[in-house]
Amino acid sequence: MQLVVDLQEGFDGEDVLIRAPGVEPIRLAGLRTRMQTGLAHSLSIQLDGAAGGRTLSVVVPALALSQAVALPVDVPAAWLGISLARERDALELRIQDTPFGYV
Amino acid sequence: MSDDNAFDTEELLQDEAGFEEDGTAGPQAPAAGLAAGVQAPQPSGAALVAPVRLRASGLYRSRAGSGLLPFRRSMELRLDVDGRYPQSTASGVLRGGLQSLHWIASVSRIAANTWRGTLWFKDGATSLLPHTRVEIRVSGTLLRPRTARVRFSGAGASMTHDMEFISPWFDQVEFEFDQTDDAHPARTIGTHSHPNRPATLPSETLSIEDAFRRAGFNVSVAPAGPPVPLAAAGANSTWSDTELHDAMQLHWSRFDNRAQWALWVMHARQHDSGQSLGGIMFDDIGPQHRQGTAIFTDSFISNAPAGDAAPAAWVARMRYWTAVHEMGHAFNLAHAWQKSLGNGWISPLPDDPESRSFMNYPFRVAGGQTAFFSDFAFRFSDAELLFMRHAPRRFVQMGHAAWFDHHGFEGASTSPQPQLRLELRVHREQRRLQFLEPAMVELKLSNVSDDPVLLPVDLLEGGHHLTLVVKRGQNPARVWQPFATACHQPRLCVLAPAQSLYEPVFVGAGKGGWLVDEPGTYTLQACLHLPSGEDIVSTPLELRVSPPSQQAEYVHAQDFFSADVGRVLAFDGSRADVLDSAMNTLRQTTAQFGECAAARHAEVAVGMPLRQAGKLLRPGAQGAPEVHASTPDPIQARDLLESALLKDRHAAAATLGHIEYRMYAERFAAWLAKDAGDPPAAAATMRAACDTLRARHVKPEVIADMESFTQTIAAVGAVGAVEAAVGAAARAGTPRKQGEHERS
Repeated sequence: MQLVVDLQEGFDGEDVLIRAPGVEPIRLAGLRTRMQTGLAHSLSIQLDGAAGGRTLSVVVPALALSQAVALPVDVPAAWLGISLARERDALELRIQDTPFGYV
Repeated sequence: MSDDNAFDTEELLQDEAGFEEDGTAGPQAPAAGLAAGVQAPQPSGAALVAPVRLRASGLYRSRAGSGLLPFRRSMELRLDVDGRYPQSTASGVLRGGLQSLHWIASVSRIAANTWRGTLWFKDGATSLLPHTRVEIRVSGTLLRPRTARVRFSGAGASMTHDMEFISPWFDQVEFEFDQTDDAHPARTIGTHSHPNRPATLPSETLSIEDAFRRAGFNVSVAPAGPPVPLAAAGANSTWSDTELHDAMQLHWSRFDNRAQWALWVMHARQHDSGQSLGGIMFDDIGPQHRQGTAIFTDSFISNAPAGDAAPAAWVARMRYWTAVHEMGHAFNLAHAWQKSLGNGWISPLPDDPESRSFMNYPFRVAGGQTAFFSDFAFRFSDAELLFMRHAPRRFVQMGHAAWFDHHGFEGASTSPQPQLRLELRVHREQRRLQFLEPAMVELKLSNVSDDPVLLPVDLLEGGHHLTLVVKRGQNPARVWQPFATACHQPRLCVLAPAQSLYEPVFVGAGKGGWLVDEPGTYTLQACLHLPSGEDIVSTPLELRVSPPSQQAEYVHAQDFFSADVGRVLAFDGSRADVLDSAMNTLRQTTAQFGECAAARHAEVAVGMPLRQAGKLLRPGAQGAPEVHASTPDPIQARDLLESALLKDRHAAAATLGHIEYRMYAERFAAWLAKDAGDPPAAAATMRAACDTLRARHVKPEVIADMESFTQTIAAVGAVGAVEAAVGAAARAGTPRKQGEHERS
């Protein structure tokens, strides 16, 4: 399964750690949301078929925030949007079967 | 205020042809602007004529003021009470002397053609307008143009301004649309082309321009060239932000490094980042933001949802919507759900995540894009219209306030229409410095008003009225502190209209250490605090420092970026023992990195003190200070200064700056003529310098001055004249003459 991860709203220099099943943890440093688009960073992760149904977790160490989401089962691709809540007290994860769009 | 009721009883002025009435527009009204609204009584004897409605909304300016210039007041009024999407708002700019104030009031109709309200926003010299309330009365007849009488009250004596109607539009803006030959723009849209729409939405064909006309702008469109062929690009047919910015600078006929009501709109097939990016206001690069946008017509906006009833119409609507959305960013509009972020022009701005505005994402609202378009009336929200029509113009105008930020100097007391303009600039095509290259910038202060301005002569010198901040990437900004601050007898000079003052600044280092050293992007911004209390803020200047080109540069940087080297560079060298280490570092710079820009600065700093003996104050045998003379080395001085100034003249002028390059050339030439006894070499040096600066578009008057100097030093026996001519130029830190330098 190909998982496209979009770091979206609310980032202002934070590091983000993504732990997905079967791959090395991914650390993204100094993320900053570009206000024209609402997107800070996008990356694609290739997961093996067994990842479906397992959990992906996202951690923002500086804000002591973490959140997890169950990966969809039996899909060739999925898109995960990660945002910081406006109050910066929670992570908002949204997973869908179509790409996100930005303008 | 007069209570005459002329407007209600006199004959009526017919509305201008082509303007809308009652907020409706259609193909028959292509010049649609702020629509009609103020109803006036039917003139007697015109029973068979339909009632004429006279719009009050629009731009008014005060009639010619009276009184002595410093005390003359003038005002501009924006009345927004009828027509298309009225905001029940009046705003204006009041000017008096060097000061100005932007005010905004919410108003409501209290009688025929009369509105009254409370001021809720003031920006600028509040002493100009201590009042809290405003009343506006509009008049007009067939024989007399529309006028407005504006009366302020509520604090102190009331104040009345009589205003003349100027335009139904608040501002004039020009769009230039370009496209690649593989793009599919939608410049117009039929509002009924897609069945999912508001039931009450009028059927009409809207252009992109119409969307902004309805926001109050008199839109003109520059003639478009033919589509840009992409054949030569090969497989690389997508665009990066940098490519778009470069294309804007080269291709856009109106591109300029200044704020202007003009916008470049590029339709291309796709961005480098792929399908997911439908458009971008890419211009957050460089000192002037928000001048260009791009729409990617073959991105996700060209993919209609599966099962959509009218997929072609859906795609056309998304392409049209995206174009207006991106252009809205160029007017400094944020996304609907981001209003509370950044520096709002009024704070705090509420987020509006469910708004049916061009600035919201259709797919972010509850119910998704279907819900959005079922209730979307092809318009901006009221809050966005309020901003575009009434915010201080520097927040809105393209190229003025940085994207998503109304101001770099929070709390600065600036005027929306200042008499002076401050620029920070460098004399090079790309704002990129080599690693180790000392950062030199030039301040230019111009009188952009029609009246002379009285200014302190030392206004641009560091340490007095000037604040200069340097920010690397996202690090905190640092204030540049000059190594020396001169104390002058307070004197004033007159800066005539269109004249400028200039001052070179070695901003790379100051008393606080090096500010521009490591590779990366730096943002510089300057603020001049005038004696009147007004602040003149420059637009930010972005500089990039390149990474080292070789490992040896990185190693050398550990010695180069020391406080002493910065000090020696600032003072054009030193003869003092205590700075020997710094001078040795600069000698090593010239020897090891002779082709680098840093070597030009080092050669000047090492070479200048070697021209002639200088005084050294040292402790004597008994501990008391004694004055010694340093030993000159004219041969080495000549070698170094020839290398610095003549070996690669354009590179030298670029890195030293035009003013410093001229000053060093004149000082070197004067020394050649007087001390080295070589007037022909002196004249040759000056001719080379003239040729260099002429080719770099320095003002003809400056070149003429230099040529005159050249003739003087070339003349045998004119040493005395040389000394006199060189005197001013040889004094480091002397304020530059008005209009000394200018690029074409």
